Amino acid sequence: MKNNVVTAESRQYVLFHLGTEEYGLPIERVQSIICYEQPTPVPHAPSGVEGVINLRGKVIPVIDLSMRLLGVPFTGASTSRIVVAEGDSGLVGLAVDSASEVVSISMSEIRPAPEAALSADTAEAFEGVANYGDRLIILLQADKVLPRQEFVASTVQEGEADV
Amino acid sequence: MSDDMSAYKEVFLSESAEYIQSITDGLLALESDPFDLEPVETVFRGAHSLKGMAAAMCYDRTAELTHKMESLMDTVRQRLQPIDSSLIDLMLRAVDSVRDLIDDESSGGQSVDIDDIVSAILARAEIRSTPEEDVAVQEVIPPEVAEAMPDVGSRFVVTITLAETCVLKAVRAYMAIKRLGHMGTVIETRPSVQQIEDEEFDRAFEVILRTQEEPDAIEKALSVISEIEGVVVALVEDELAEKVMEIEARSPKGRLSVPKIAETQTVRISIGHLDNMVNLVGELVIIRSRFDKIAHDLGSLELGETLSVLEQVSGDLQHEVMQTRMVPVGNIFNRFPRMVRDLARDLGKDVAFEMEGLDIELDRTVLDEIGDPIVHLLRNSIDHGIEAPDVRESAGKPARGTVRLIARREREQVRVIVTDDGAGMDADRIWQKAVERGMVASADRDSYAESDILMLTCVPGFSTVKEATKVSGRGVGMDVVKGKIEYLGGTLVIKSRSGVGTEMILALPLTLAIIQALLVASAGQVFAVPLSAVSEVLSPEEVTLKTVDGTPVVVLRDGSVAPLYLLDEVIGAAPRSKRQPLPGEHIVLMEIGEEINALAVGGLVGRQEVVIKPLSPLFRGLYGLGGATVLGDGRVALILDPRTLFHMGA
Repeated sequence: MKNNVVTAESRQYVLFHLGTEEYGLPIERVQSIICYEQPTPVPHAPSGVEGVINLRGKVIPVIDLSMRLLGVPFTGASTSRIVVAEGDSGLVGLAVDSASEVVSISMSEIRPAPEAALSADTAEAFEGVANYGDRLIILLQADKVLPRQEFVASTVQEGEADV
Repeated sequence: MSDDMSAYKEVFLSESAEYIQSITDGLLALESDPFDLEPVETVFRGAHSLKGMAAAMCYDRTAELTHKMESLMDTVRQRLQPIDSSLIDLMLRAVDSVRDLIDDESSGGQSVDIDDIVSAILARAEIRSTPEEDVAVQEVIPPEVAEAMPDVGSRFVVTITLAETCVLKAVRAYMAIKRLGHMGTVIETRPSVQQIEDEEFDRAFEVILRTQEEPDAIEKALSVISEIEGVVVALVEDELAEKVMEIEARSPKGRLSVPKIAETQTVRISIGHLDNMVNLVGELVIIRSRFDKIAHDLGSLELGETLSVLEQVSGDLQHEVMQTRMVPVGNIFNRFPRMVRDLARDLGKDVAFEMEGLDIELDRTVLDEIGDPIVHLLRNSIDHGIEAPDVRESAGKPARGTVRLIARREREQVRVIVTDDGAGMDADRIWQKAVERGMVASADRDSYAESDILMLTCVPGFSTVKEATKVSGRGVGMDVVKGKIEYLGGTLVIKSRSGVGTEMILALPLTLAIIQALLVASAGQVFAVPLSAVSEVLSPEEVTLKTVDGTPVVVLRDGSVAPLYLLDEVIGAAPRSKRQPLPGEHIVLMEIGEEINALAVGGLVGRQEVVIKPLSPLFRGLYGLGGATVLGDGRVALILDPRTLFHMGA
């Protein structure tokens, strides 16, 4: 995988907005993009998990990326979308403000994200930033931004405690 | 090409497992009644068939060993050998070797050595064997082996002609073949059994039979079947006889397969296909309920009527698909008699083992999981339950202990019960141990019912055995058994009386995929509660509400008290208030094992069949949820898990 990335001239990203930021996720990780629907809340689920939705008969969790990346709870609107991505533990939905584009970003355009702008907690989630026209795109490391079991497991403890 | 071979291998592995099982069953039957010659035949046939199959797969060592087993059983068949426990032991050992060998050879290994067991069998066979068999022993190829098989009676071609008026030809033919099967060995039919079953014959068909009976007797036996017009019995000439032997040797199943016409109508399907079918039918059920909702909203009578037909059909389809996944418990129970026998012998116990309800069916996924827990319970019974014979006698019990394994269908559950008439569990000793382990406080003894104390054995880290024995002390404890059963949505109940015996009751759901659920609402959200756990739904006015130490409880009709929980508080939508339920709320009594809890819910939405969807592994750590389901409107409802709902955070 790594080698491919290095040798390939460009790579395709699905772009989406959260707040004022624009993010990109490698297209191989994205299964589909659907209109946002209010997920069914899961009692005592860790913060950062909005709930579950029905995706053509499958029940998948929806992650509040806004909470995870920006620390602000997500609020759905008519333009909101759910990016369905392939995570380590099956499909997960990522709630985003809007998503419409797939773009090719040349590898030479990608620069490391400025360290000062990152909190230690989420630093690993970023692959880097890229200029696309006059837009600045924050590229996400799919492996790191999608929740893994450990990420949830550590927060579950708190969830249990108040029960 | 390689796909073909692997397909054959799969068939070989599953069929050989069946033969190994039937040989084992036969040997155990023989041990209990050495004068019954039918099991001898079963074992002989089983070894013979295995040999043929193994030779076809080029598993030479398996073929050789099974051939030796067959030869030994042949001497038994001819009553040249006494049937005693050393013979049974030897053959059982050989069966174990065959199992290892097949594992070895099918994975391309060379590691299993059969010299010891082969020479042991040869030594035993030579006790009274005849010279011809020593010659036959050298040969592995099926046709030659057939020659070594002794004649039991003569071969006949029986030509049966059915009456012209006969409507159910296949049935009459089946009866005739079955009757002939009782008289001897049905070697072949012309046309094949399959064709006869499909009625692909005019009026006449032939059965090649080997029997000691006279032709007259054959005719007479067939004459009692109605609609048979004519029977011709002819002795097979030499030339034909050779062909018969060839066929017999070629057919891997021999007599076993022939008389059972019904069996030829089964096919093997990979469990993956079945799982997909269950999922698709699940989708269908969901879509159907969405249509129901649309029809209801539109108020269209015609659509509603059409849908009720669809409901009928899809219900039937769902039932059929679920049926394909149902497997008789006998499929896993059948390995237990051997295990119990060996175990009892190793431990110096005298144990009679009885099984009941082998035809009770369970979903495959459930069945696959309960094998190990049952093994553990049986081991416990034999090791810790049943006393040594002299101890039993001095306690006034029969020297031989009894262990029973019972499967029983009860509504939407199957109960699997392991009982023994052994020493029973000593509640005082268990309590003592639990105190030593710091699991309970010594002073709390009075607040524990006897049954609660017995359940302490299921707490992780508990073991009453002073020294871990070879048998039960493998670190797999009752906590693992209980955990596994609960994982499957079942419950474990222990009943025991000191000195009298112990009863372990596993209550298991029939299936894991579709359940009947009560839909309830709380804080604007719909939840599904498995109906199997709901014993009653009441309004607050119908029950006596009290508080114990400030916490609300429901007093049941029989005077017992169930703690009351409020769903919106349990799910964290409202703070814990210890309030009583309001008028208009409903109280759902939920019974798990012997424990009853009351759950107050905001509203009742309905009763519905729901398809269980697994929750993402992200939610694995959460208590109280058993999965999710999709409702008629496409929304997700969470399924509450009655077993953990009230123990959240415990």
